[in-house]
Amino acid sequence: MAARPGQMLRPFIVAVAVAVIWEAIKILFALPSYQLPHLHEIAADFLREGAGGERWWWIMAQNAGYTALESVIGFALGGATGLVLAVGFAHSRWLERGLLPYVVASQTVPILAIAPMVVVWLGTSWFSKAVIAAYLTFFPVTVNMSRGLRAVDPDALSLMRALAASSRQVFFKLRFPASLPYLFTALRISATASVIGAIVGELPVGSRFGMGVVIINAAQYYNWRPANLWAAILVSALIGIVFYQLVAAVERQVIAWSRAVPAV
Amino acid sequence: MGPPIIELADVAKIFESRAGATEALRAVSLTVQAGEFVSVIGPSGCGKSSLLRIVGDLVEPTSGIVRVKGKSARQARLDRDYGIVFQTPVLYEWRTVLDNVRLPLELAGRARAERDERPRALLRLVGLEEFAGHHPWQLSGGMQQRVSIARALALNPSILLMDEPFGALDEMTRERLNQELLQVCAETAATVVFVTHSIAEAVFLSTRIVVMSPRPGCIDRIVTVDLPRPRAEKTRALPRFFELVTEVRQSLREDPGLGGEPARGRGAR
Repeated sequence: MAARPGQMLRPFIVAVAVAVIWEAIKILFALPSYQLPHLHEIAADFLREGAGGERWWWIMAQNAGYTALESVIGFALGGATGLVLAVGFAHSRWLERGLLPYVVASQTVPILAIAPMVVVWLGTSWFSKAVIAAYLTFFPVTVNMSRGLRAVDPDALSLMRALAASSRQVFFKLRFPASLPYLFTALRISATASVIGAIVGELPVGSRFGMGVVIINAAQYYNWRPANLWAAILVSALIGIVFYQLVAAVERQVIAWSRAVPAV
Repeated sequence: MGPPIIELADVAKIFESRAGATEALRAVSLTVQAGEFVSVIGPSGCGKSSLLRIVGDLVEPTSGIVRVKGKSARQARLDRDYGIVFQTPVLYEWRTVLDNVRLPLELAGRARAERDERPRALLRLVGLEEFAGHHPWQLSGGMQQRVSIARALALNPSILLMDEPFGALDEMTRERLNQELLQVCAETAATVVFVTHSIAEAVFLSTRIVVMSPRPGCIDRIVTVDLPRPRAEKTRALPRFFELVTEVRQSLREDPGLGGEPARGRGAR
């Protein structure tokens, strides 16, 4: 499933175009660096020596790794929760009617308001961050997967009935595989949401590692060193992109049958 | 003749919906002998699909009695007496062609040896052996429908229920598959109930043709097809073939509820 060179090139071309526009705007409106730093200033920030004597690229890498780990754990936790809820909803209208309003409500409450409480309950370790990441992750999986489990072709179900399949067999041999495309669509969304959840979880006082901590510190010194915050944003985005691509790669392997084009 | 394999007595079906009740079938009585090939023909909305689904216990009749091999339709379904083919192939796209044919054997918990050998033999029967490892989307519509027929035969069912299986195919593919179906049926000795829109198809395949009239669907007439067997391409050129096509077409036309457009053009060419 290797992409052709032309496809690999396209994001690069866009990046170059963005860089050109970036610098053009900076010149055109004569923006000072605290409003918009030069790109080379951001790049230089990675090579700057931090307070502890380490270079910033290494500081960023360590914190990014920490955040990525929290995200992955949260993603797995949330994905599993979402899946269980979806199966429950698909199984019982009663359960769906009873629980869905609260599931929706959980997502309308700003995560920024909930994160500090979770940190107070569960402590400032990685676990509380993973739980916050899971909180953002489970919802797309629940919504999409419960739809996928229901969107099965009626004739495919009739076939199962005609063959006297048990409800277990109907689930594992029909409903679940048929809804995998729905699941992966949700997991792509969840992959990026889990990174945001982990970072937000790192913002409350008491956290010591992670991109959230880096962002808070960079924001405090923004007027003095604006490039640092921009660099942190860049790294955070990179975690999300890598995670998203990983999920997409797994998807391509697992449901190669789904996006296929007729050949005969 | 022995006891009938399928017996319908006074079967009626009323679909209830928010818009009101629709009477799909009224007072349908029919017996089918083992080894028969019975086609059910009629205009859209005459309840012929419902009739087929009632026989297969996919739909419950509102009233009336259905006996299959001397038991209830439900028991026959649980005993896996049916093979079913729909208008669309209904292949599971995440399974290969071979694994699609294997599905009924998996569901029935058949032994490993049978699960390995039977699907291959069936693909050979429908001439798709070399496509075993393909995915359904790599096959044409006609090939997909052959896979679906192979799957229906997997458990060697005594009754094959076919709901307009060739309705979505072009005429040439349809005629070729008609011929193949007869060969397959000759080898498996299954009793077939076959729903169709096409008069020519019904005459070519059947031992008897059940002509239905619409709203509410009921049996208008049963035409016995006395064409020689085995049927072949030359059967379509026999004078008797044309007589029977005309006879069925007239039965469809005589129906007062139809307003003179029963055969819908594509039926008999």
